[in-house]
Amino acid sequence: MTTQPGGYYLPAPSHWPLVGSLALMSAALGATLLIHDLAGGGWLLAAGGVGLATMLVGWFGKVIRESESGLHGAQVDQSFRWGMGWFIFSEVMFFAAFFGALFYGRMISVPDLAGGEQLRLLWPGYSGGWPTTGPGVEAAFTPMSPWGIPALNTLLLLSSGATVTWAHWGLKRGRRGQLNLGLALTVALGLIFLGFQVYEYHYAYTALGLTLGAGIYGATFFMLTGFHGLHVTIGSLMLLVILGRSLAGHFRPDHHFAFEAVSWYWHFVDVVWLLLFIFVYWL
Amino acid sequence: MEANLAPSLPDEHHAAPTGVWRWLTTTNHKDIGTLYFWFAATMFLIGGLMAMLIRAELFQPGLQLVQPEVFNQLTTMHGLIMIFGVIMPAFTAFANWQVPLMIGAPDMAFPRMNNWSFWLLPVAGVFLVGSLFLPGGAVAGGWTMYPPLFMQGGISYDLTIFAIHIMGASSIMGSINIATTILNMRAPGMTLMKMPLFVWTWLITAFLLIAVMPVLAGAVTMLLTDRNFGTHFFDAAGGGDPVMFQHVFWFFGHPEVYILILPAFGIISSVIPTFSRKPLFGYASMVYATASIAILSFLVWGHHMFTVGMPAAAQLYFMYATLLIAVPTGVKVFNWVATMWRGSLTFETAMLFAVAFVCLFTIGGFSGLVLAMVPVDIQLQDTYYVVAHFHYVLVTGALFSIYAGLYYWLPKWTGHRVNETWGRWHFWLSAVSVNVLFFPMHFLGLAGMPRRIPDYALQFADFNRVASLGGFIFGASQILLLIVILKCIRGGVKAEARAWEGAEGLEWTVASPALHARLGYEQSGMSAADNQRTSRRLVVLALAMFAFGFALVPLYDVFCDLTGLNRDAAQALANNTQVDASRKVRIELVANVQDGALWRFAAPNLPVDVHPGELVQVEYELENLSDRPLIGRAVPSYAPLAAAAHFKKIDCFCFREQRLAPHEKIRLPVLFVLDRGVARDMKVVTLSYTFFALGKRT
Repeated sequence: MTTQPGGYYLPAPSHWPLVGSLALMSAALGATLLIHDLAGGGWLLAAGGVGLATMLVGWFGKVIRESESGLHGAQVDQSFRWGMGWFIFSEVMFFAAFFGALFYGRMISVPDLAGGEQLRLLWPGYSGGWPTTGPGVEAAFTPMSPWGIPALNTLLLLSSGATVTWAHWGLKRGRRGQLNLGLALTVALGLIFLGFQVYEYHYAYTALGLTLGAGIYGATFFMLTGFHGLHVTIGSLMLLVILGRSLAGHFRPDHHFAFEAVSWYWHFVDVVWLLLFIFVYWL
Repeated sequence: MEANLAPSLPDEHHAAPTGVWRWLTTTNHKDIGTLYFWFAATMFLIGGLMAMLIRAELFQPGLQLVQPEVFNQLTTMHGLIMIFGVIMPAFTAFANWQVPLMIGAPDMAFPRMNNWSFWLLPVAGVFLVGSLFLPGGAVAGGWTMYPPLFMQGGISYDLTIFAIHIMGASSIMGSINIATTILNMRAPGMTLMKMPLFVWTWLITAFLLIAVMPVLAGAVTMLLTDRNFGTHFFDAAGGGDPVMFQHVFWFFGHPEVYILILPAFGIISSVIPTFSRKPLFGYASMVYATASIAILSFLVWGHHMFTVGMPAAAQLYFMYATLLIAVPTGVKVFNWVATMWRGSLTFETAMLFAVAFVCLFTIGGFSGLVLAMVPVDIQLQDTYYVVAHFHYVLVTGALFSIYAGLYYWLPKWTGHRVNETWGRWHFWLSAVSVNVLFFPMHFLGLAGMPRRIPDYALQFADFNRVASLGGFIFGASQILLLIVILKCIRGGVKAEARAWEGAEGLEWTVASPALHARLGYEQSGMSAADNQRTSRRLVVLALAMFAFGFALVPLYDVFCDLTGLNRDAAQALANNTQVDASRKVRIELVANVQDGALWRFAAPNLPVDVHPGELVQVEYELENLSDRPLIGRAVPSYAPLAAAAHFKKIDCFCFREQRLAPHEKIRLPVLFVLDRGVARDMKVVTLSYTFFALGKRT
């Protein structure tokens, strides 16, 4: 076994990383073929997805078993904290790239296209403004209003941040019922949010004419809200796993970093949504 | 404690895996460091061979060996491979081997994730190298992937985007691991300001990587959606801007430059004190200088874009901020020199490379200052001066530091001393030839020779010939390094725990070679025989890769001849690089036949959706239903009529006599391009062929 006396748990060789690499290889190759309408793309992509899911279940399952066997000492716990913190930082930077694109489009490229030489020589008659499809894309759309579903979604996510904290209080005070209820509520709120977002996308495509191809507004709108939605999906799945573990009696009041990691992630998703609501929907 | 765990974790008690499976599943930082190293070495061979081809092509004016489009692919792939496949993995190899040893940690913080970080890299490597063999060839617009050029490529462009995603995931996980290890796994008493400088530089590098790799992922994701899903991030028609890509890319790209050099600073700061037999001069100022460089690196990206257009105020800001970086870098160079000052110096190969680093990297730094000045940069942008600058920084900088680190730590890794005679040959040949290779490029650039061009004006011929000769010697000299490493693995004088008598640091307190087994973990197969077998296999692998790389170009030709790939397509692509990916036109295919009893003439069942400018092939089918030989001919027609002018047929069966034996069935391909001039409102076009019999039915 790999634990030193009072030391750091070091896992034995594992095949899961290899499964993950092969799965990503298959998925990337499949996606490339699919984009170019070549045979086998869909199958490879699906195989990659299944492989990745298998890897995640197997790998995290192993980590959970190790944790429940008491192999993770205080120092391992601290490593997880650093690791999750750095991971969330990398996610912040990922969203920063797309927010950067949004601000650049609004503040620099669109005003630039609607003024000066560009206006006179290239795009006469383009008035700029925001939202816009840009001077050369002929598509009429209505921007998404912030005060319908988006405002409701803000409420939902903010409430879910509260319920997950409430669940955490329950866990720390040993009130398992409060923990389970809080988690279940959080998952439910997350899923309702996702349902609303799917409806919103459908509405945007069918009723508003707002599509991915609707100029810089459509591109930034769907890219930012889409990647956020993906993160809510991942976060909901993680919360579901935590709920399952909680129902199975995992976590102790003094040892439950998995729970905290997921709640950190959930709060991060929450904060990104607030920025989205302000900069994508509202202003 | 262990006994009662056995039921829940049954697989942990099996013997440690051996053979290939050991390397595929390893969670040992030393194994993973070794894997990173050999991956970097393999990619170095491939990227190096590309460089040799580039220099051979540039040996004299005119087109010699490769076509321009292949040349562009070579320069692009050389850049991507050397940056993401060689320098970064090589530094990560050092981090894996050295960081735990230097801070007294049993291993990395997340050993399994460490394995995944490595094993993602070969996937990305296969994608990158493999894309050379796809129709249309590899990415050819430069490693910076600027749109709109990047929008126009074929399938390999999308594959390259995914390769970059995967490399990014690998780098982010690797960096999270390294940062966590350094922050959480130090031996008791080792405070942050007592860490070896190499560990400090890697902590800061890891921070930079975690901060900017996601930004690169975002940038290439936008390229992917612009190429394939109709977004307009980089298209002015939709309110986007191709220049925006450059901003996002260089927000990643400039910190990336320091990712490629900060670990080098760390290695040099380990090597110079050892062979000067003095502690590093100004340790704290080194730490702060490293941190300042990292912070400044986020604030200077605009100096890569002086010529694309930005307000004068922005140019001034980026110029001053860039020049500011000279201050902390100068502190470092000063400290290295001060460390050597009045030291009892000896010049083992590691030290030779370190001293060469200090001198030659500084040349690269100075030319960087020249380029940072806006009025000068506007003259020198995209000339060979830039090529000279970044090769001084990356080859005599990053690569030489890797060599210094290898000569320095190989005794710790293999347990044998390095053969100094071979090492010195390697050093002197490399150090002289690298200057012959890159120094003349300054003159070429000042005289105005543009980069990324396979042919050049006559007045550049002399310096190019000198550079190419230097390049060939430099390339050949690197074989010596391979020999040195293999000799060192196979045997030699036994190294003591403290392999260099001036060396300080925890890694020199453990045995040489550092025990493969970690405390408390039984690892079975690391006998001498095992070592030998492994090194034999690695030699075979390296030779095979070398031979493969050597044979790449002829193999590529054979491959193309056999499959017919690239011949017609390359011809057509060269003329039709202007694919309009922003829209699609549906082409309905119709077949009419005059005498249905004799002939069956069929169009493809489904309509095809094509981008204007895209090369399309469809197949009709013709069958003789009768018992006699028949002759016939097809005539095309178009609806709407205005579309006819935009159909450019490259190969068509129309107007040709078709002779069919009784019951013969043939396929009739049509290869065409619908050119970009086709009107935007024309969404559906019908292409129909009418087939009729000729002459008497004999």
